[in-house]
Amino acid sequence: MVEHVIALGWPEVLLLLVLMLAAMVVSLVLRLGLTQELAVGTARSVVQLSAVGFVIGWVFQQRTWYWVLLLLAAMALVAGYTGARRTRLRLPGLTWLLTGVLVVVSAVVLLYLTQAVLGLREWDPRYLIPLGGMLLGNAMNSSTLAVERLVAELARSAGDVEALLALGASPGQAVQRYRHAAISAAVTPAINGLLTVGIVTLPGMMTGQMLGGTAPLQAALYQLMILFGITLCALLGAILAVYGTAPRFFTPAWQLQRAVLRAAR
Amino acid sequence: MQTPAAPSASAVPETDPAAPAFELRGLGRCLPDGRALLEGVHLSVARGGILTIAGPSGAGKSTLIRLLNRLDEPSAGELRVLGRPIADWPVRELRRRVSMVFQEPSLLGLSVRENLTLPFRLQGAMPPDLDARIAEVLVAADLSHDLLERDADGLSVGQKQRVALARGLIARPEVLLLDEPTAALDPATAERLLSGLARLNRSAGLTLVMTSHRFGEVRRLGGRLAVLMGGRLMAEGPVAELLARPPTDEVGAFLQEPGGSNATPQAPVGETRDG
Repeated sequence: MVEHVIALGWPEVLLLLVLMLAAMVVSLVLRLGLTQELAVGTARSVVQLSAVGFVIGWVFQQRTWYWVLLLLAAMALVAGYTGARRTRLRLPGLTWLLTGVLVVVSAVVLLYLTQAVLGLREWDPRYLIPLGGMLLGNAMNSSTLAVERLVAELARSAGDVEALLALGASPGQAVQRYRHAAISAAVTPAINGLLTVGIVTLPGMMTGQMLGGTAPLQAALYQLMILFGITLCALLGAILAVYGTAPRFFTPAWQLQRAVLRAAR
Repeated sequence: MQTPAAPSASAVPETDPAAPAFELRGLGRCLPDGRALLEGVHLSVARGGILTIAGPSGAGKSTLIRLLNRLDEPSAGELRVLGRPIADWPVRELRRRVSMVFQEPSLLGLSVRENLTLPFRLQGAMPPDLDARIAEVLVAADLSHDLLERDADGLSVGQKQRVALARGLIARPEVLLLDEPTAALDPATAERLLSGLARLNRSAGLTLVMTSHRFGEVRRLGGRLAVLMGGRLMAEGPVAELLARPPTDEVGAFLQEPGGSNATPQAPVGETRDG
């Protein structure tokens, strides 16, 4: 499977850096103000990806369940932390909420994919790590989008929410429409991905597999597996995140906590 | 459904239907940062009575009225609603009996009928006499039956506010709270809304508590007036009495302001402006 692959080494990485240098030069010349961000992004991606390459490579050699699990857990934690930071919301415990959500939904889908679909009978990091990473990443995107959207909707519609509470609505009833809006906004990118895949874009995993020597149809079927997995993951992640977040803005006496809502933004 | 107007401020057991609609003792509310929005308010509102809460903007009018159906929690003092401490009421039951209409009608993009039946859908059951209730609140809010199937988004501002009022009445509350109900309305529309309210108060004994900037409508509606300033209750009493003999110079000055209550003493509501 890998016999035709052209190996990349550090000399080639220098050649790749030329691409980013070109981007920085363009930014400098046109005064786009992106030079510093490009430099930081370049440095971080080189460090992060090569580090992750080393770590995963090492875990691949171990093939023991605890190292695989530990790596997946670390990925989930980083995803939860990154997601919480990305929302720019000040909600205590959001990192842990998101991490928990990501772990649950990714674990469910990953189990199904590896056990029912692939019939994996051992802790094979070659499948578990990349699949787990994709599921976590997509669940992170949708759950953070959903939380952000929910808070924005609630802040914008605080008056309507209180009008509903005043009519006897429970907090759950009062936020129902905003929960739905947040979930559907968060899952829309994943669904759009289903519609345009193969026509507008060739997904990264399929591209990578084909570069790695896999037959295109095989790569396409693997891509299908991933697409369906991440769509469900995105949906479940958004739902859990929204249901986990909404109650924080209410008291047990069915009052909207405007102060918490204001402080969160 | 409604209890007749009862004498206020008498010490009665919790179950006594003659208990005041609201009894406030030293009621206060602070922000999380400790800033006081409302301090030490003592007040009693009789069942079947009318109370207008007036005061400059930022005086705590909305803060006070929002405590009465527990949209917010007081941080100090005691509040009894219909004879019971407010925290003893199941929240949904409290808010059914003490209904609220806001400055913004919040009609939620549904048909008028769906808006009117919303309180029942939230409870999960339609009452057997739904049609009668709808007819009743349409009359009370001065709305035409033809509007029922219309999309609420397409109504005029005045119609929307009357739909919100009808929606607030359909569960047959004992008290109606109104937070600046006429602020977004033109004077003539405001006048119609208020005469409808006065009628409900007279015929059904509905207790009204309202915040307002418009002194003309305060005078017209009658009942009692509470003047808040800087989060404190400066004066409370029958409207006419307070206007004739304000207890302090500060209150007097507020009530005398141009556009205020005494600026156009004989004018009907329709000709006064926002205070």
